[in-house]
Amino acid sequence: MARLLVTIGSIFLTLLGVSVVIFVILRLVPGDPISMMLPPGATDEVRANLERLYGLDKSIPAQYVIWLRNVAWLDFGMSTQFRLPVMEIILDRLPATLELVLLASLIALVLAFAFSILAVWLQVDSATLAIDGLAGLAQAIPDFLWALIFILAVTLFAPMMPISGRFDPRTAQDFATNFYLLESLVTFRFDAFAELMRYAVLPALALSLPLAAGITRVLKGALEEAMAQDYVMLAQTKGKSRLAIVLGEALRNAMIPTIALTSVQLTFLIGGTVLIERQFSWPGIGSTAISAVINRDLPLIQGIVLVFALIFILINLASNELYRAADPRLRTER
Amino acid sequence: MSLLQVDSLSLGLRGTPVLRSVNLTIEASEIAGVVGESGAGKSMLGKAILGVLPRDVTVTGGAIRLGGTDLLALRPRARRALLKRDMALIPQDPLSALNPCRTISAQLAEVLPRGTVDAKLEVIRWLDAVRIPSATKVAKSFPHVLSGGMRQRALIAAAFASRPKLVIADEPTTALDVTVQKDILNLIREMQRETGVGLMFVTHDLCVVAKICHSVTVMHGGRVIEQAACTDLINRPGHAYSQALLAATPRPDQAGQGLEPVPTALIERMIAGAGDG
Repeated sequence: MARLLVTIGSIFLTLLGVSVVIFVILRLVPGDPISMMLPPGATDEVRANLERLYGLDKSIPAQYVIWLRNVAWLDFGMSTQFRLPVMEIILDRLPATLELVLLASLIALVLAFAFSILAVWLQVDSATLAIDGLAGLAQAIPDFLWALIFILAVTLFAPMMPISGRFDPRTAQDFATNFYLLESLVTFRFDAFAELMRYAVLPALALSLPLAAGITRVLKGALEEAMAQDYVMLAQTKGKSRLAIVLGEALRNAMIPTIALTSVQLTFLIGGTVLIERQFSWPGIGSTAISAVINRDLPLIQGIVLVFALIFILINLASNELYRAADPRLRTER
Repeated sequence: MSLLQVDSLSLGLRGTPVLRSVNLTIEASEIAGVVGESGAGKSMLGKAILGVLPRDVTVTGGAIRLGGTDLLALRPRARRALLKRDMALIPQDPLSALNPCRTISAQLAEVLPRGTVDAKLEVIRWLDAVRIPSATKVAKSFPHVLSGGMRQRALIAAAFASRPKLVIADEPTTALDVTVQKDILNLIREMQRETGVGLMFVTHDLCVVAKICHSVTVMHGGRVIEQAACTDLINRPGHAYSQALLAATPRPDQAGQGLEPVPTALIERMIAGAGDG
């Protein structure tokens, strides 16, 4: 219980720190939203009016206090670029990115676990070499290049496969949330899910391949190390098959470094979807963030940064909990 | 019929001989010591019998029979089944021989013979049998909370809990400190006596052999140098190498006498002689 309170407290402290840093930095860098909004030849009076309207005539600390007070009520202000509440834009765009990232990590984990376990189980030099080679290739080619390769391949060989957007606007379905994939899955609309997957699979695959390669390397190395331990030899003398030993003895011990790498990579992935979203016209938060920065949309940038910070914190917390679950040595009560 | 019969077993590490035509017989209820210096091949012999040789070490000749069954002729699955049913290992290093991510109970329960009714109770019974205090609590805990001696006791329990016919103890006291060594040794002897298993005791320590073994096999350079009843070997070692090993071992009955290192010339002569055979 006390641990939970400390955790929640530390989340808020971290977010507060992030908010101060982003607020101050955004106001110190050159360029301001008002200049982006004004037509050429606008008078100083118009500019002053607009500045007053958005509260930009006040001092930075005063602005911060006002903003923070509103944020406490989940009001992140109005986007200067879209003239919409920041919260609304984020809630509209974030689910698309989260679904893409989730799908990509799922694919990456499945590929990584399958290939690592296969390599260590088979223990055949040629298979290990092939898997190492594939992993090297997948990792050497960055995700945006994979995206280009997929787009090229699809246009050449499967022109019916969509390469743009999240769904077909002509067959748009009613969804209560913006998590289309998840929603169609939990409401058992499998035809809608399959249709959505046709759009999601290529960007997700492009994102997942380098990630899968990274996880494979770590997991395979950790599995190999575990298989050389004495407890594996002892498990052999208990008559266990090699596959049973890989899955039952080595895998748990190999989870610890794998969790560490995956959680770090996952945070990179959430920030790194920008290019993929652009390439596949995926209506996610990455492209929104870019346009917010270009247009000096201060409230929107602040909102997005805070949401990203929260997601990173949550991923870190989750990975800490997973460590404790995976390694009993971290669980010892003091 | 002997419990275990190893007939002119040879092992090779990518062409280099590791064991050369080793013969060894262990009777039921017997403690058979296998002694030798590092690299003598004594641990490899144990691993070959269990069938857990490192990947690049292969059997190049000979036979291993357990109760008449030729282990080397068995298919992997049948050999695993026999291994689980009839053989067990007490490993050298208790600190690394227990899986850190699994409870003691889980690692013990999986060796219990088929048809065990209450595995939990049986595990605790075995932990009690090896005199682990508060067995109920220890069963639920993970290895890292136990001391080396306690872990070795748990491993001894695991070795005997499968009710095997043959237990191979591979230097089971080497990684422990001296005060614990004696307790563990006594415990192994006691468990062996109660269960009547055949025990192959691999060690480099002639003192330990003198204390608990019935017969001794002295190994050097992958071959058997001498095989004798324990008392005979200690009192009248036949081979020059056995004599040298004895002279290099501290003996309580000859306290005050200096120790002699195994003479290099003897080793060189033996290696030269090995070339002919």
